[in-house]
Amino acid sequence: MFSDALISNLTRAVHEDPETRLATRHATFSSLLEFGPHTLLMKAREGDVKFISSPTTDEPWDFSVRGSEEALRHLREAATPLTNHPIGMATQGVMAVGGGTPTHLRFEGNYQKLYANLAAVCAVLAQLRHVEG
Amino acid sequence: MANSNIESIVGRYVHVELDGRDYRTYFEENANAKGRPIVCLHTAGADSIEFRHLLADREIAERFRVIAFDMPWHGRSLPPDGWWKEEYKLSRRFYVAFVVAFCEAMGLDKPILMGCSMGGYVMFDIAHDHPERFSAFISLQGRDQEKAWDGLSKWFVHPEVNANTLIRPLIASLIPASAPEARRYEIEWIYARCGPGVLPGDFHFASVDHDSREYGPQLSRIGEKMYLIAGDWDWSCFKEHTDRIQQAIKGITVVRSPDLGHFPMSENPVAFRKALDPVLKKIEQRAS
Repeated sequence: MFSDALISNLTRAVHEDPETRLATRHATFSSLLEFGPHTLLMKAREGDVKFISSPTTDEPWDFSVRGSEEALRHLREAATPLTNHPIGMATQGVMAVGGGTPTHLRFEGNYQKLYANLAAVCAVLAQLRHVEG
Repeated sequence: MANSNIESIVGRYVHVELDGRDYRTYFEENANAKGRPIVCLHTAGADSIEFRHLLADREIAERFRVIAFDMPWHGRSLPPDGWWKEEYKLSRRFYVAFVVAFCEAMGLDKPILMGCSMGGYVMFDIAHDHPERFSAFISLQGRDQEKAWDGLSKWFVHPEVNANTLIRPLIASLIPASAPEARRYEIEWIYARCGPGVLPGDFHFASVDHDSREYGPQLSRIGEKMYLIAGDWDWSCFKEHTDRIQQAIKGITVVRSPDLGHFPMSENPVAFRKALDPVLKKIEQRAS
């Protein structure tokens, strides 16, 4: 799911895309991306963003972005009203009244770190729609 | 001779008295417009600039006088003296009273009222409290109740979180991917200018004070002058939410748009006109 090609293309896109570069330039956090059995650590230090596949306990993280394999597919495919943005995918179930609208993603962990870096996290996740692998 | 480089929008201030305080309130309108006034209420944490496309719309100006104002604490309407000693919390009572007081200060007779998000929420409260003062109520992305907004409030005033950085992805998440790129980022910019503590203060109204579920059925007696426009790309305003309002308020006209999100008038002016036009035509037909 997080192939070497994907990680390589994502790293390049994050450092080359002007908007993502601006959004991550002072970002400092470690985040676990977990979709089904697949994990990827996203580590940002003042604009230097790295990805570590299948991280071990040697790599602590501040917050996680969790969802199903289907959720990751949504993040990579063309946007639809229900899968347009990670925040929408995390919030829509919370606001649903009929129980028919699912929450596709969950943000968990150190919320101060998450909200301080949310723009950077979302900018990086947005690149998943633009890279191959 | 008119200078075509200058837009027809003009901005002025009106003094609105409420609760013994004088609120110097900024408003914009489409100058030399004809027809019935439409008073526009902006979203939480934003200001009247959200309506700039409608205000500059020449075809609309032939039929309606569009007026958009900044609520106190928003845009160019400064908070009252002493704001540094009080936590801003918008209450239902103040919001409803201020909209009515603004219309009185402007000398407007039975204007059409249109508001988005929290401005769309308060539409149901104003319609309940003052059904005869307005000729129509147009709620954009309106909800009868939503408790979840307030959960974010703390983080917009937290010393270790930059609020105008935090707000941008939240706003982006509510806008259709299909909206023009420049318009999408325009809304992010509008929100990044929000004053300290203003968005949480507005969330207090939207999440805590506003709950029109109880009197929804009572609004059925004026249902023919109530309108709800809602876009599919807004995760805070699903079809199930508008269905609930439609079931409660008999006679309300509901327009769902596949091209709109949480900020219809700002994010996609063309798609907004497409959704708004049948509503305005219906209002004109009722008036004739």
